[in-house]
Amino acid sequence: MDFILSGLIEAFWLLIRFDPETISAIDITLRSSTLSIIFSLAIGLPLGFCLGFFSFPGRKALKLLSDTLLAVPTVVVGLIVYAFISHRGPFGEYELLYTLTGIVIGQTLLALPIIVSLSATAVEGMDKKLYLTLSSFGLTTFQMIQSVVWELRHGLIAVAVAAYGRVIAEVGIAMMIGGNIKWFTRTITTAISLETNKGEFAMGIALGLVLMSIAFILNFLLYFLKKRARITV
Amino acid sequence: MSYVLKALKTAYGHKPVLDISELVVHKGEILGLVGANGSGKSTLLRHLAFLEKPNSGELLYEGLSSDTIPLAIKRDIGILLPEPYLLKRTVKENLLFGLRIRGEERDAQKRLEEALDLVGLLPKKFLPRAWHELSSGETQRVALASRLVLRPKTLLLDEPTNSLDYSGIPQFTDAILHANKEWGTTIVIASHDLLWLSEIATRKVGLHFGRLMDFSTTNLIVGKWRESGDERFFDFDDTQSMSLPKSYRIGEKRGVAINPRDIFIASTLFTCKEDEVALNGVIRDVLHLTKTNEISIKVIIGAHVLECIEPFEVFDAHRFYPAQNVYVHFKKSAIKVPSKEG
Repeated sequence: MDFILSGLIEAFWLLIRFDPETISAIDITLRSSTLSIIFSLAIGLPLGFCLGFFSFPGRKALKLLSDTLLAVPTVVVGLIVYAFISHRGPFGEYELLYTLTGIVIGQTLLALPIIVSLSATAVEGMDKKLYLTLSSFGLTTFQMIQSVVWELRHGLIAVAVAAYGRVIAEVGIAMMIGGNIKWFTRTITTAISLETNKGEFAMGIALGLVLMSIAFILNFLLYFLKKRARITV
Repeated sequence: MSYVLKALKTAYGHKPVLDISELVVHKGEILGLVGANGSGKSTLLRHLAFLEKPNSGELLYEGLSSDTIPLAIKRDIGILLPEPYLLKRTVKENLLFGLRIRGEERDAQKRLEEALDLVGLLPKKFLPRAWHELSSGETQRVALASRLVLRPKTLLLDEPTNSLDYSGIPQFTDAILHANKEWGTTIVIASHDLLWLSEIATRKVGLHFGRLMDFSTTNLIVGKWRESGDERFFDFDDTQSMSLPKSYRIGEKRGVAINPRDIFIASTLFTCKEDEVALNGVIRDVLHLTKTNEISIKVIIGAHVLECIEPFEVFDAHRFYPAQNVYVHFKKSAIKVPSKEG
């Protein structure tokens, strides 16, 4: 028990005095996950909206595909991205393996099905009365899209928060694509994994505390947004 | 004319919901749509708002068909749905929404206040309120205000008094009449509140299984007919019935309709001719229809209610009163059977 207690005390010290190695892992994690969420939202939200809003042939098959991709393990995403960006892969010449950019690509692909599938579900589940009400104002297609997105804003932000939670806590992609290189691609999760293997519990616990704090904030946000979305129904 | 509908048909799957051979809605009139649940009132209103397209037939608004009508003309039509939906914004933002879409934000504040005043809500108190801080009655009024602020040329109201209590209805009525009188707004109202509709509408049409009736079909008699000999009988109670020849194709669900103006009331029984029906009942209520200066008398016969509409002068001579035992009589030819062909 002593090593856990002493690890916990040391972890607080690491955080209080801004230990550079700990801060570096936090910084890389926040940068990679934030960038990947921005990219996946930019691609996924319009796709999810179209999938949920418009009727077209093959829509159900696409929805089924995006729902299935929700369950893909991070190591499988890591494996696929690895195959494409390693030296032998089609994008090998860009030297993306073991870089932050590589991690961002992998995490973007991880978040994409979450955003597409959940935002499509949110749009699909839109109250018919909302659609009829907006239609009755005589909106152009662009005005309609703009208004629907605004009306579903709480649900869509909740989708982004859920995807962010998944990305920030993943370890498979960061490990396989980033390579866990100190100061460059070592994220919170890969650092915890490594430090624990080395028997360095203090840094592991410190980083674990940070990750749990982020998870708590995200879950609080989700709870708040879901409550807000419920009021609006 | 605001609307001209010809041979308009709509079905949901195999179920026909609208089958209107002809309907004209005149500019500036207040048209009341009456009919039972599922008679097609709401579907018709959604067609008039161009929210749904008919399967076949013609729907012209100011001479323009649903395929060619430009967005700018469509925006002249406002519709209030039966359960109004407010956008997830403040009351002010809800009222501004339509104005912004139309690029009519000039004098917006004045128009917002005017619209809220019309529906009986204090602008200072209600403009900053969020959508979830309103009662259902207030939501209904704000929804109407959000249409009135646009000063629509046509206003379609689907069960508009649903969420309103008795104190809210007069103000709501005044707001609708204001739009009609001040801005010349053509108004079409679908409502179950026949009393209120009688007060506000300049004309009423009935819908029965998607078909138009040329009168307010409150006398829809739906139920089982028994066969005996060459005739079918409809029993009002154990002792009273009316009959029609078997050649009439009566659908149990479609039933038959009797124009209230074809029914007469007498305080004593008199000899009935072969082509007439006489039934004994008790008057439930007597109502003055102010628009037409007629009297509506509802008589309970067994488990059914028949409405009779008399000119005021005729009523004045008899002075019937509620709970009075009376006899209603009408000719068999007044019994209309809505045919499948319409």
